[in-house]
Amino acid sequence: MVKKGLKFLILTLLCYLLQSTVANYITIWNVAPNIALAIIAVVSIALGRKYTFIMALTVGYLLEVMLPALDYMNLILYPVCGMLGALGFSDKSERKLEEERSQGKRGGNLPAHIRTILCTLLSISVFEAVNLLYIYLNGIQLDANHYQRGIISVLYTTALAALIQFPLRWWLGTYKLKKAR
Amino acid sequence: MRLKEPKPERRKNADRASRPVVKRVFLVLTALMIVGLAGLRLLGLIMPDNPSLKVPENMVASILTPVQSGFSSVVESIVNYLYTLKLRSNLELSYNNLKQENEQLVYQAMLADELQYKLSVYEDLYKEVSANEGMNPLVATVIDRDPGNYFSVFTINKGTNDGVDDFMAVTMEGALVGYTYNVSATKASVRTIIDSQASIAALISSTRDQGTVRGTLGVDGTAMCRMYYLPDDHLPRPGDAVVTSGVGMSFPKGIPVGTVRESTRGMESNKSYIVVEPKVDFEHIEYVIVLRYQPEAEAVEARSNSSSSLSFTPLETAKPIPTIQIGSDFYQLAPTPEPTVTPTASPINGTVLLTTVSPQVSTTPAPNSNSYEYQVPSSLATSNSYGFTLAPTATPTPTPPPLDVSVEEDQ
Repeated sequence: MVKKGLKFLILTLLCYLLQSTVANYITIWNVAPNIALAIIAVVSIALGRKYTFIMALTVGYLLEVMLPALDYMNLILYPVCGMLGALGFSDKSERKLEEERSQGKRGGNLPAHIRTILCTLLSISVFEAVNLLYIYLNGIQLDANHYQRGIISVLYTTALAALIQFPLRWWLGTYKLKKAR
Repeated sequence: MRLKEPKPERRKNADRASRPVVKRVFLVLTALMIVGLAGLRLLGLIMPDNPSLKVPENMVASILTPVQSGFSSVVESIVNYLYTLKLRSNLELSYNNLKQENEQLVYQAMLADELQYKLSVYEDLYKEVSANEGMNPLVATVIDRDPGNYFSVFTINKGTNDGVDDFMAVTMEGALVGYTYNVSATKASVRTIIDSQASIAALISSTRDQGTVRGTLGVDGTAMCRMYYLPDDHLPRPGDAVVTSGVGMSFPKGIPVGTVRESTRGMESNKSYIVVEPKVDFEHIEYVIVLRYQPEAEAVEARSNSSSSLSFTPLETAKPIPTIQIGSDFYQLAPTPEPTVTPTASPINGTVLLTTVSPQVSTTPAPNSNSYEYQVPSSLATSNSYGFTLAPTATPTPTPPPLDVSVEEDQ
């Protein structure tokens, strides 16, 4: 448990550090990916909602403290987006699965890798939508360039999550757990 | 039996049962702590004047700042390294591209030089051909060359199919190269004037002394000529031009052969010749012109046999008109008669009127296609391939008679 907690702590710190330092260097068409949300999405599927909540809140708090571009924005948006993804695509509880089975449904989860991608897609889409809404509410007329940048960010972050989920899941021991089962 | 019950196992099971609780408590406490921190942050934003609300933020920032700066420096060094690698690969790529481009440019420059050289050669050939259309010139390419040290012979790609015959003059850059021999249907051999077996009738243009030019390659190994059989009473000067005399082979008259280099014939008893330096660079012959000139003996014969025989028809003698009229009251000057139009030399009614035509003085004779004397193109007439410009040959002056010694020796 200590080992897992330590790994989680390191991953949380790494999530913040990568978002604050590395993201600017790996831009595509001047659009940086959201590494933090990609890692949060991977953690959502690999570790569950509680870890997602703690991680998203911590990263949001650290970004709010260290990079206060907009008040409240990071502090609220990261936990909200992370939890939305986790609620939608993290492992279903035994009770939920039993309920589905009783209703005659298949009663299972989608493959974890696909859920990671979908979770990232949902999180980053909400994140970009809120950002665009915030800009629009500040009186800026949205044009094709805004939407284009938003779409590129969504696709890039999703692709990044699809890539980094393999080393992260391996590092968190998810594949070892699957083999033991 | 009861004593043997594994107590550690029971304790282990108890531990396992207690783990989720501890884990849950730990997670809840962590979440609460973070939520508390977030709440303090929100309060700090709402109440910015309260400094105590900033304490947790400052603590977190003070802990995180060195970590972040270290991580940032690591990331930056990695990025710089990757950038350097990228730059290096780009430099290498650029270097390779530039090198390849340079090679292509060098090749193109060489090609351009070659084409420019060919163009200049063709221009010279064209000028020479157009200046001597009456000689029926034919441009030929040298396709083979005798590598021997004693003979200077090469082969051209034109033969009897193109009208080439034996002993036709071969020129290049307005000077005599040699003459054709051993002509077949598609090729012909050319013996140059420096070959010791070549013998060409020539004359010195200033004195009009005639002689025979022979090559010296087989004699002393030098690419020179010697001129024999010159009259003894004239001593050619160095720099005098030597041209073909048109005697002997079917050579046109006036093709430049070279210039007199040494003229010690009258001074040394064992030299019964003069040394002529050829005008042609025999080391770099690629294209030549074959002058398919034939003396028009047939035309002369046909002209003599024609029904319209030439007959001399004298013109009416002009009678003098007295300019002073006698018997008048005054000596009146009669008007000067207007000059009549100069009659042309065109045949009238089968007869040729021989008229006196005043010669037109022209400084440079225009190339005449019907002329039987070789015309050196104007661009080549002034050029000298030997690096010096010869002074124009003076009008024929009486050459001092040879020394008495030589005369005595010759006798």
